This record gives sequence, structure tokens and C-alpha cells, in this order.
Amino acid sequence: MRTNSLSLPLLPSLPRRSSLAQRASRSLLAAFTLLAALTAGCGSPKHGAPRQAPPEAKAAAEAGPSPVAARVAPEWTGAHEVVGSTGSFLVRWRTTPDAIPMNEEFSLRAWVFAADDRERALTDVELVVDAGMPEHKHGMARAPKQTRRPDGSFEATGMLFHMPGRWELYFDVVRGELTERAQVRVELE
Amino acid sequence: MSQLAAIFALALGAWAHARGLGALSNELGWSQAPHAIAADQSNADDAVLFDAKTLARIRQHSPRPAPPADPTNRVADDPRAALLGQRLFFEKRWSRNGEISCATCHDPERAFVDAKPLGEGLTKLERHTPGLLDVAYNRWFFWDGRADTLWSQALGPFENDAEMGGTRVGAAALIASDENLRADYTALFGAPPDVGDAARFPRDAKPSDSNAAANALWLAMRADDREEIDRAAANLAKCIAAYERKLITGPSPFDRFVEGLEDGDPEKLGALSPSAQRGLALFVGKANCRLCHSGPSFSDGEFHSIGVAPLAGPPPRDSGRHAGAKLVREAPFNAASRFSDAPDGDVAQRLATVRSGPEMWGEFKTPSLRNVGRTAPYMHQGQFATLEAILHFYSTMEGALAVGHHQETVMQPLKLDETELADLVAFLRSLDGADVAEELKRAPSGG
Repeated sequence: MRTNSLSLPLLPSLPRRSSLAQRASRSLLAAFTLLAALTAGCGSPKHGAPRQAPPEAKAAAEAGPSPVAARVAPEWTGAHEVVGSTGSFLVRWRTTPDAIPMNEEFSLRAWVFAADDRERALTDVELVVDAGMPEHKHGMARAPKQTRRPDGSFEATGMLFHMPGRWELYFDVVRGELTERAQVRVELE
Repeated sequence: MSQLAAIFALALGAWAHARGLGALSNELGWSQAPHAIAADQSNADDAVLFDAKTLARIRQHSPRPAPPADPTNRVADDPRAALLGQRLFFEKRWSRNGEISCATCHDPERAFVDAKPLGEGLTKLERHTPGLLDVAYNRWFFWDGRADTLWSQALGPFENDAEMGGTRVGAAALIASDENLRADYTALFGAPPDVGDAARFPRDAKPSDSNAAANALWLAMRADDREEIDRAAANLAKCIAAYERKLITGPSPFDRFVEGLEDGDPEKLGALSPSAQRGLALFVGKANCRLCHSGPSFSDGEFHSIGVAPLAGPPPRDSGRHAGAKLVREAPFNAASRFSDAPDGDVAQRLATVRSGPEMWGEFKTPSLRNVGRTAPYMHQGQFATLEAILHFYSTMEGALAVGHHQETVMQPLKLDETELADLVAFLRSLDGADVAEELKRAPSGG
């Protein structure tokens, strides 16, 4: 079973005095975010920034309205990525807020792809999101509400990591009678 | 670190603070010196050195933000509601024997607890009376979290036949008949229900699983009458909550110490003795108390089983959160109910994610540690009389219940020595905040 390790910075929940240390922490946070974005982008070079329009399309656009729609970056652009245990699926996911907060509710959005087609999110699979602290042998204190959105993505609301320490996020991709798990390690300080 | 190096570090740290570089020096790991000096300038050997990681953990506990708003209660921060709620808090007439008020168990002179292992209302209860200081910060209410708002909590003890034994119809009748209460209520909510017809509004009527006679009277009432009474009961409870939201303690010695860590003020840094500072380091470090006692309230607000045996001895019979999870979802006055002022709000949404399962059997809410020095005894049945007794339990796990069907393994013997235990107690006692204003500790005058 493949395990991705990811350190997510603790989201500050309190107003604090600005200090050099905090500025340094913010810089670290920014660096982390950038690193996460770069890491997420590594496996999906085909769907990063919107593609540049070819010269003929550009000329047509300059000439007036055109039926050629502008390409919009997919919603999963910049999301974290994790591959399932047998390598069949890729799960892209992101949380709101970006940094998983300690003991505050957050939501998670995810998209599932076939490993050999990372352009189109699958619509014929189910996804169950869960989490736990393996070292403590307990799960989340909540049962997040999980819904499928019209665009095929999955959303889990009411997630809660109520303890500092090592968490694991579980993405169980279900297709028919088969379930494949992808999991990510998250450190909360 | 050699003595010479230690002296150099102390001097460097003091210089950094003097130059306003305290936070940066914290990051570098040698900023700890100034507060250590301040705590005990006579003996550098007592200096407690916090590394950057420890300092970051300490800052998670202080300063404490303002209490969260309560959108489910539209009068939560209305001073008129708080004043009426204060009158109701000290009101004895609506108890069945006319002798019990909220303040009977939540005694303002005892930090709003009763100092007894088990609460005592009309009869002895099964659980320890929780404190009310800083209650506005709570996520869940009661030991089992069967209430999700402060106001819905207030409705429980008032009608419980083991506690006050009142009825919501009787409360409505009291409001209607008492000139002052009626005026205060009307100013907030309009006229109270007209309950003059005692046959239509039986004073002993209330919904109850344990009191069949009262329940029968309640069910015999017209549905619209019951609705009107329920609405009035919710309004009264919201006023009590408005009062209880004001029971916020002032900064504790620990809070002053953390301020000192930020600004280098020696006086603030002296708020914690060297022993308490060592206890603080243990709390966020080796002893790992912060796993559950996290954040500014020193509680995760969630539920755990720590294996403490019942007061009467094993086996445990109180299912705690296992029942509480079901009760809060089904509670007629919960945040999603029609009596809530935010039935689609965040608190109401949270109800949909309440987890239940056998692993929750026997779990109880993590209590806040603020004011813990003056709210003995401890645990859901007051099993421990002193902080020392609690820490001895955590250190040895002597007498702990077998894990049973619980898989959670958070609880491991801490194996602390006597000095460490004393240090932790010293730290815990530094969490007592400044008491609430005297005028909040008695019934308001003129009522």
C-alpha cells in the first residue's frame, strides 16, 4: 500500500501579535504551500495553466465574437494528488481552508481519475473519505457528510481533526464490488 | 550545555529581548533566557528553557479569543436578556419544592460548582456538577454532550425530576404572574402565554420519559398550546444562557506569563514559578496533556474514555456519549429545531455529522482546565478529590478499567516522578482566571 507523506501547517486560529517569528512562520507557510502546489503539479503536467490559444484562434478572436470557448483551468488544478494502493486510480483533493486546522471543522473536495487518464474525472465510481490516528487507534470524532456534486467531484463536510499528531486521510474508491484505498499522512502540530 | 554556554545564551537572549527581537530569538532557541531570569533571577539553575517547538505549542493556549457568538440564540448578547436570565438563575419558585435554583448546584461562591462528587437536586444525581465559568466557549453541553447550545442545556436540569423538578407550564405561569418577570419578558419577546386557565394549561404538565402523569397531562394539551409553551420555555432558556455567557473569567497567571513571552515584561514572566514553568513544559511535551486538553480552553471539546472506574466501582453503567450522541440529534430544542434562531447554521449542520457507535460507550466530554484549581472534585462522577489524585492516575493508570471494546490507546501511564507531578500541579493551578464580577454572583436587585 502506497502512503504519501504530507506535512500540513497548523492554521492559526487566534489573533496574535505580529512578530518576526510570525513573519518567518508565514514565509514557511508560503513556502510549504508553494511546495505542495509544485508537488501536486508534478504528476499532472497536462492540465496546469490554461493552454495558449493557437494563432488562428487568436486572429479570429481579434476579428470578433467566436464560437471557440476559452479553456478554463480544471477545478482540481493545484490540488494534492495520491494514487490508490494498486495504482488503478488517482485521487486529487484539496481542503477548505487550505491548511487543515487543529480541532476546527473543515471540508474536503476530491476528484477520482483512472491512472492512465488524468484529464477526465471518473463519474462511475464512488468515493468514501475517512480519517484516523493510527497510533491512537481512533478515527474522527465526526462522521462527515459526503455528497457527490453535479460535476462529478466529491465533497466531505464537517471533517474534524480534533487532536494534534499524525493523522491519515483515507480515500476509498469504490467501483462495483472492488474498493481501492489511497491514503495520505497528515501531521498536525 | 556547559555553564559558560548557558550564561552566554542567557545574555544573548536578554539582549535579543531588549532589542525587540524576542520572537526571532525564540525561533533560534535561545530566547528562553529572559523569562527564565525573570522567573527566578537568583538562580539560573532554575531557568526553564523552552525550545521553539515548545513555545509554539504554548502559544496555542493563550491568548484566549472572545467567546464564539451564538446565532442560535438571538438574545445571546442582549443585556436585558442577561439580566432576566440572572433573575431566573437565582429563582427558586419554579422548582418543585420551591427551594432549588440553578445556583443551588452552580454556587457562585464555589466557582459555580457544588464541590460534591455527585450533584444533588431533589435527589442525588448520577454525575458530577459541571462548572459554568467560561461555559460560553463550550462546543457541547452536559458530560455526554446531549445539548448543542447553552440555552438548550438550561432546559434540562429545570425539568429533570431529580434536579429541580419544574415544568415549562409552571415556568410560563410564573412569568405571567410575576410583575417584574413579566415586564422583562415582554420587553424581549412580547407578552408571555396566557396560561390563566389552569385546566387548559395544567401546571404539572411536561413531556417526560420518567414521569408518566406529567407526560399524560402534557399530551392532553392542545398542540398549539404546547407549541406556545415550548416557545416561551425556549425564550426563558435563552435568557439564562445570555447570563451564563457573561461568566467569563479574567486572565490567569498563565495568560500573563504568555504575554511576557511575547513582550519580555519581567513582571509578567514572573507570573509562573519555576515549578509551574516546568509543569507547562511537561504539559505540552512529555506528558502530552495537550492531546485532549488543547487550545485556549484547554479542551478539545470532544469525548473520550480515559478508563476511570465509576464512583461505586466497576463495571461502568453510564454510556456517556453513546447515548448523548443520539439524544442531541433528537433533542426537540437542538440547534436545528424550530426554536433555534439559526436552524440552518453551522451548529445545526454539525448535528448531521455527530458520530455514534459502540466505541463511544462510556466516553465523556473533555473538561476545560481553566479554573481547575478551584473546581474540585474532578471527573464525571467526581472520582478524584484533588489534582494530585488525577495526576497519580494518569501517571500510573492504577485502577483503570480494561480497554474492553475501546480501541483507543491514547491513555498510557505517564510514569512521572514526584517532582514532575508537583510541577504539573503547580502549572494547572496557574490556569485559574480572575473571578467574575461580584454583581454577577447574586440575584440582581429590584427583582
